[in-house]
Amino acid sequence: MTGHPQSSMPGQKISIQASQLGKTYEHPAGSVVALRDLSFQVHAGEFFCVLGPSGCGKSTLLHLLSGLESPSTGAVTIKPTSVGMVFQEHALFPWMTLERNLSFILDQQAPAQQAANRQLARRWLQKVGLEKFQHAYPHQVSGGMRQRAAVARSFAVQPALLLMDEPFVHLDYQTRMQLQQMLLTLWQEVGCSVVFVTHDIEEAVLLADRLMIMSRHPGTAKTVLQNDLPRPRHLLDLKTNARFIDLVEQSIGVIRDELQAVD
Amino acid sequence: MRMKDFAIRTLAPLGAFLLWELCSRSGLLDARFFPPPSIILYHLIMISPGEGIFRDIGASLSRIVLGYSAGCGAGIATGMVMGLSRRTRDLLYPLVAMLYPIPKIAVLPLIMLIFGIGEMSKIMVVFIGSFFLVLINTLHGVVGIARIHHQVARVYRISRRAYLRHVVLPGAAPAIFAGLKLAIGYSLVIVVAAEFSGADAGIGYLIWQSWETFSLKSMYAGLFVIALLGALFAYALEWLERRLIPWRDDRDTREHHDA
Ligand SMILES: Nc1ncnc2c1ncn2[C@@H]1O[C@H](COP(=O)(O)OP(=O)(O)OP(=O)(O)O)[C@@H](O)[C@H]1O
Ligand SMILES: [Mg+2]
Repeated sequence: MTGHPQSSMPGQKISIQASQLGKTYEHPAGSVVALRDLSFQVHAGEFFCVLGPSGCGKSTLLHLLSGLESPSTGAVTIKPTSVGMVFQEHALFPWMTLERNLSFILDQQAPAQQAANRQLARRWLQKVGLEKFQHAYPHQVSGGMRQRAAVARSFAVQPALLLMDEPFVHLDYQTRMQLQQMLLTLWQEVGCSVVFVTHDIEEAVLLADRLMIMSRHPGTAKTVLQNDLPRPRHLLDLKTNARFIDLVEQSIGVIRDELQAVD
Repeated sequence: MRMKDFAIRTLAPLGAFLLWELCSRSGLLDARFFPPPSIILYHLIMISPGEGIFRDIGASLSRIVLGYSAGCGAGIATGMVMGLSRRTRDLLYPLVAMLYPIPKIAVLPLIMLIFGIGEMSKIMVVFIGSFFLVLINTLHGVVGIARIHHQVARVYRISRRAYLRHVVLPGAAPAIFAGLKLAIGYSLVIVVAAEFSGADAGIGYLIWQSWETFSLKSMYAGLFVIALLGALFAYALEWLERRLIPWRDDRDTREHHDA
């Protein structure tokens, strides 16, 4: 029943080790099993995608990984201490300029070097193409720009582990492609581990080294697919690549029974 | 654009004055009871100072300033604590919910019993009135801060102090300001009512005295001063709000409503 992760290559460092994770929420109407018996590991420097339908417990999983919530059963061990996170909703502080949204967090971690933190904040905004908007408030820029700033913020803290919860789900196709490519570039530059949650099969295949496909009710892993598409990836060219199409079809195959159950 | 805004804002008060002036001068209104505003204004500027109106304004203002600022300070602090701590909220909210709707003028006799009929009792009613309004708005502001901001603060290990200063305070600021604006108007209402009885100075005292001696022009002068102060306070706070909350996204909605 549990999908087992592909055996890790020897010598590879483990970034996350989750064993038999479970999370149950207590509602007045009864308890909801959001996650059940979920075991997997993420290697250091790996881009790990979690693919699953709405409500299968993807956000819950990230909350467990980030320590925002604790598991009801099982355990998770996280090696890296510095964690960055991009949330599903707009998570910038509306009362801070884009630059301040970054430097405020940096100031918390290195209070002695505020000037350097501002520099770093600007450099990251520049990397995501927002140098002209560093003094703008979040409501003054577009949704895509806000999400770019959120990505910049998560990278600016120099994370060893990046948790991303459907960060591009509310964006249009074009902007999403742009940000996906940007994310890959930044990730290859930094080399951190990424756990990227999405319900978009193509997105998962475009980005991942490995992708864990989840089922709903109960939220648990069905399987983990290895993605050997070469890097660096150019997403536009990739969409017509035979291997890409093959992987997408494999993924659809995994969830076929669930798709049919819906009909 | 700014000139046009200003013109639009003065249009309604000017129109009302003009209408009043016309009605009063044409005899449509009895000028003994409703003297034309130009005459009241003349009285206010030329006669009232000699009758000591500045002393009355000063007395009312000092009561408002003391009671209002103390009430707002205490209201913000209590609202913050209640908003942040579930326990405190469960403990105090029932009491607040019971005391808040009591008209503050209704407790004036009780307050005079406790604090005497001097300055203190008048400052106290203003204090109590401001306190509850600001408390409730601050509380709602703090509780209403989106959960996501709390989560971001936890993921990035924001210190408690920075969380209060840079997340809770600005997050609740729009609601706090709504409370401050309600409270300043309410303070004027309360102070004037409190001065009707047991005062020897103040705008309320002036109005009551003028009524008893049938000096209607002086009474109207007092009313004009209240109206002016009310508008002044409201605009001052709005100015302050714009300075302190520059991230507010209000222009879009305003234009949306206009369209
Ligand atoms: N704080 C909570 N309290 C109670 N139930 C919750 C809570 N958070 C999540 N759940 C429940 O857990 C289940 C999984 O929710 P979760 O948000 O993790 O799903 P998701 O996969 O992220 O969905 P989506 O793709 O729509 O974001 C849902 O049934 C949800 O109702
Ligand atoms: Mg989710």
